[in-house]
Amino acid sequence: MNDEYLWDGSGDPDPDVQRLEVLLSRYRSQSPLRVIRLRPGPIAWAQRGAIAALILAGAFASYLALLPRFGQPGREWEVAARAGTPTIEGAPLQGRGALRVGQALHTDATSRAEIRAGSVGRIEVEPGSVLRLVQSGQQRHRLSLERGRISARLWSPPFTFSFASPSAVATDLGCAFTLDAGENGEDRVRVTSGWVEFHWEDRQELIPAGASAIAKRGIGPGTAFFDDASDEFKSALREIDFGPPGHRASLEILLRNARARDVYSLLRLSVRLGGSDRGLIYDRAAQLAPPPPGVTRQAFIDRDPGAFELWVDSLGLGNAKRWWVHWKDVF
Amino acid sequence: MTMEVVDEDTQLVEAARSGNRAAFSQLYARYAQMVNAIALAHANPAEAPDLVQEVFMRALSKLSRLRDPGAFGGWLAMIARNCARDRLRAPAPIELPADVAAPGPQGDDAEAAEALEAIRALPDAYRETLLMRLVEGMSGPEIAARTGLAEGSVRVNLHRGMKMLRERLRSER
Repeated sequence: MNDEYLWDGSGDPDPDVQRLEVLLSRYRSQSPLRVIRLRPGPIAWAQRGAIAALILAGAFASYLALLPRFGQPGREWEVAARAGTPTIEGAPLQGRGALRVGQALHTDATSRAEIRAGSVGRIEVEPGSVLRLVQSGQQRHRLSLERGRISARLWSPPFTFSFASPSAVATDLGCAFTLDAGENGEDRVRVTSGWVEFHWEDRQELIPAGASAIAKRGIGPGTAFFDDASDEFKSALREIDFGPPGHRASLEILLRNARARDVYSLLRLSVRLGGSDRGLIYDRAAQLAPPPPGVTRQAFIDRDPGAFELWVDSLGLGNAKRWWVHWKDVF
Repeated sequence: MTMEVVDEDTQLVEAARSGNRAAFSQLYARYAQMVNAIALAHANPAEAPDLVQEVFMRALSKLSRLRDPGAFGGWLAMIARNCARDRLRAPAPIELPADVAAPGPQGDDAEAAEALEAIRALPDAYRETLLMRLVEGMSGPEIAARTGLAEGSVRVNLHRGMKMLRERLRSER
């Protein structure tokens, strides 16, 4: 046996290794990276990029100019008891107090509190919750909901606030939402305005207003779904997201119970599925909300991000990236 | 991992983060073999090319969150394993009836499929490393540089994995 040949191809060839090299070479990577096709249009994408950069730069400059007025919170956040007697690190909160970085606010079954994050955010802490302020920087604030429920209304630029639950991290994109950290190993974000990004490791879900996503410990978020979807749809989606593999029956139930509004969930789910399942999703989604011109079945099956983006945009949910248009929603 | 690899990866990641598509293409060229081997270790070979594309798409969208650009290889490998895990969690593809399904592999194709299955049945630590060596033709030092594993670990994985593979293939004959 010649380990040097196995190590780096030097020395006397090992016949077993050579035979395997020849046999297995058919599985070698060959496909070049598919160029990410951006939306076609009369304006070249380089120009679009420049325009977008200018818009973003302008928006960012406006944000910086407005920053003092809107008032980022400092290292101490103002807290007010709204019912009962919440505690901060064991100390009863009478009326008003301050939450500092590293400290946790506790509410029992009969108490609730409101936190003001400067003048750019307001967070209601519901009964039975533990919320910790992890970081409060100049432009970024992190909190951790260890248990219970919060309702947040934030009108800061996107990615300013993030809330870690035991299963995932909810990051605001200019929005209002509730976050539940359940004791059953399951957390949930429900968005009432704007968009929220919910992620864990490389799993990411973008949740629009009117929709929710569930996250499970050790797995991360499942697919976003509208709260008014049928129970059958939600149950089948949960089975596909979190159940054991091989749920063809669940996919059939999901597709059968989908409405036009649920096409967003179908498109999001398709990202995680194989080609044949994406074909089934395309067929059903195309019946419910026909794709715009240029979005072909093959492009969808091939995971063409341009096709995906065009179709999602056509659903009329607004663009998660255009955060400033959602500011008005919270006033 | 050598300092040169870390430095080059760091430069490429930082360029890609600033929107340089050519830099991302270079990262793809450096890591496609590793990702394909990981895909083959965990997913159906027919789905591997699709999975490789998905892994790089996810990596591109998450690149801004990578804290240490020099650790790109290990981070990408983690994404590849997670993508493969997601595939396994997804519903099984619709199966065609036997009379319309394509015939199974024959000859060398069948032998290759058996060898691949035998590798996929090995412990996790061995199968990815062996697939990088036997499918992609990467050398031990290259595998260490791309994955971030120590050369000693790669050598052990190759040696023990190949020993187990020989035994399995012999017992099947």
